[in-house]
Amino acid sequence: MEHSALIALTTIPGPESQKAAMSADASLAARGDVRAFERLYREHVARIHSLMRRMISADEAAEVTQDVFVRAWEKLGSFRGEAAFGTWLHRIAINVALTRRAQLGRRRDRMDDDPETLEKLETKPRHGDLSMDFERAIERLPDGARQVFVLHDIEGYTHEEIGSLLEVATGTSKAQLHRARMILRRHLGREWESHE
Amino acid sequence: MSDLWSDRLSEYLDGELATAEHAELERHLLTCAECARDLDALRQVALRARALPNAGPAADLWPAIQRRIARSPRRVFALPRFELPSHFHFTLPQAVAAGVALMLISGVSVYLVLHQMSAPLAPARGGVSGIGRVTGPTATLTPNVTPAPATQPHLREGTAPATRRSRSSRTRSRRTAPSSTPRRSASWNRILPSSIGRSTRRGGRWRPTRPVPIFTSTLPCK
Repeated sequence: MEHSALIALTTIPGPESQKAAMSADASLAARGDVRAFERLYREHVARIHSLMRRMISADEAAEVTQDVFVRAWEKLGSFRGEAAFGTWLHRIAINVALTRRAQLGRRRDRMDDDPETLEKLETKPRHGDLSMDFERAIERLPDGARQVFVLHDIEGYTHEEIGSLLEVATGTSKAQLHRARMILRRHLGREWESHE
Repeated sequence: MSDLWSDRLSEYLDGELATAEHAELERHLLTCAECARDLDALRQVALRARALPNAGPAADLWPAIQRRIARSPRRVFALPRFELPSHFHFTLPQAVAAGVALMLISGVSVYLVLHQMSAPLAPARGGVSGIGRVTGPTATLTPNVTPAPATQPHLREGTAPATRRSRSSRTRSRRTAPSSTPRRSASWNRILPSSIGRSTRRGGRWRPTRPVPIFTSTLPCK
């Protein structure tokens, strides 16, 4: 019994083996192996799609996710394996999202306050799923605050990195983050009231 | 309500305040219930954000992606890297640079070798007569060293036309060649281009001062 359990434990792929397999798939895909690239797609699509949904919109997330993977396929020749494939892909996704936002005409002056936003979020949550309600609340944040909130609180970027990505000052990034949190705090307050 | 510290709560939460400000805000939180409540709410927001699950698309996007990458012009596939035991990797630019450097070194080496080969041949009077001889189905080169008799001006520079020399004279000339006269092997004649021989203007025509090697092949003649 103990012996079989030990075998089972040793055969479960750990994070290192998964990372090695992913690196091998990236290497194969870089040489044109479509099946290896499909495995990479399956591994990362949920995270990339969620990022696109939060950064842009739920309506356009599918299309932009496709763009990310097509761009990754085209640029795989430049992937040197110095960083994890997921990190490399994530950076491509951020760039694609920012480019798409620029194409949509959402300029940086959207960083300015939008007084209607707070009113939009005053409505009580309608879904039973708290995560879904929270996602919807994030979607309704002003663009600037939403970008910084997603990159910092969900994706884990620092303010310096966000400033570099969005071409804004670090202080602006901090201010937008605080603003987004304060807006969402009200949303959570409403949520708690509705459940009481 | 908004006070001096309410806009700094996120920085406090993220540990980005300076030590003095951090301590001062902590003292403020002991006396300001509203800031303490806001801070707790902000902490809940941050925790909720980190716990958000990632959800994939409702429909599988792979078929559309596969169609698009089939049409996508892919500029460069990654070259297989040379895996060395000491963790050296050659990228494409590095491999190209190494190739260029190798070509330069090879070119300089060949130039130096040819230069050294051609230097002692310049003062030779007899020289090597680059007359090839076809023997049977295989073309081989037999370099001939010819003394330069003064009475035969057309042979002085070793430029006599092959048709003027008999086989016996070639054999004789090989036997009587001065030992100091350098001789090139057949293999050298195969690789030396014919333009190596220097030219002098004599009789209104440019003539090579040294015999022009003839390129031959060991391949069967067809």
